[in-house]
Amino acid sequence: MKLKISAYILSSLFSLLPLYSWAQDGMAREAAENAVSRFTHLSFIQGMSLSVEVGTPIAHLIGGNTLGSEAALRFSIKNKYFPVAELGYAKYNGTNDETNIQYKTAAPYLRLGADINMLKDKTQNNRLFVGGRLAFSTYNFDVNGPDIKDPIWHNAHPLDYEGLSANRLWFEFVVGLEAEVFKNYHMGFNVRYKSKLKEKQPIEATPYYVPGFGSGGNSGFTLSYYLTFDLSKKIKAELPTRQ
Amino acid sequence: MKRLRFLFCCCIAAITLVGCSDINCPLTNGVYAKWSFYKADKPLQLSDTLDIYLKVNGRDTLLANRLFNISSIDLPMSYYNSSDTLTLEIKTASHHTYKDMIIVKKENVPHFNSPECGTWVEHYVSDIQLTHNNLDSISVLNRKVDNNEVENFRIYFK
Repeated sequence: MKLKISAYILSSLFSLLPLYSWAQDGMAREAAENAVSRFTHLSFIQGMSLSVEVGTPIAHLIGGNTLGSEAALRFSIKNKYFPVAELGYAKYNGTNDETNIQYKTAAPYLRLGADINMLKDKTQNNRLFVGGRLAFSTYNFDVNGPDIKDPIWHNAHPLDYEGLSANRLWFEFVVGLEAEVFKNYHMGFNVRYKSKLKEKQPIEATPYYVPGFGSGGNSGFTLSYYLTFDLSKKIKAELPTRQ
Repeated sequence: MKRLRFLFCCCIAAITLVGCSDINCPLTNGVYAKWSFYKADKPLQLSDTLDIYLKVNGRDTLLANRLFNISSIDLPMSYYNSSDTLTLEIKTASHHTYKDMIIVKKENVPHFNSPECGTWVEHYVSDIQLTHNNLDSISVLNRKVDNNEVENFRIYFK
């Protein structure tokens, strides 16, 4: 648990950078908001962007057991609705110090969903969004450990499972912040609440770490930090002529 | 500035949410089969003393001695044997002794729970054979024997 907290603290310190930029831009824009909002007409497709999650690789560098990343392709509809597809790959290899049991897995995962920009001014380049995802991963995992000894009959067999297959379907609720720090370049973070919907698992083992979902049972929270690049963007605001 | 402070607090709250985790291990990794006693479809509180023997490596080993006034008992199962043999010896107040043997055939599956909680061996019972000196029958309620403390078998006495 200590390692998990420090990994998330460090990765979320990076996320403070966009917060400052976001706050400053937000204050400047608030002044013009009332005047502009009634006269702003945004075109339907605003563009698309590509995000890369960097929190997990950073956490791995400081000693985490998980390695992986994900990329997300996001479309902007009137800068309010953002359908998104996320594809990632995660790898876990860890041994518990007390039980000496090793758990290993690596697999891709896919998420489809959408976000909604909750800010009133949709023309600015910062976003506060909430959204949902439907996610799926199919994976194999290995479990190895010391012999399991029968205390009454005094015989023992090793714990050695390889290539056990499982899959999981889950739902995510996402809340996040994103700020433009340079032109067409954003930084952001989000908190996700994940909840298992359906799972297939072998009788020999309960999956401990699920790629894309993480560890910790049937539900939990994760923090993601990512960089976003606008592949194409247009914000068109038409001001009506006054007579 | 107010907004930045608010956003900073949200960030701290987010770190706390994702940074904490709890480990929900079962109280014990021990797996026991729960045997309940019945007579004519009603739960039975044994009024006679009961000794239970388990055959360990070919020898009858006393597992429970002079049990009295009980209606159920939790018994261990071998991790790796394909069958376990129990002997129930009932001694009545009138000094009669009744011995019955129960053979439980099963499949054993070591089950991994998590790196923190470890492993235990679960059993899937395929067949039960018994003698009928004092026993009428045995019904299997849950053929999967794990650490969930559910009733597995009902022994019906004559």
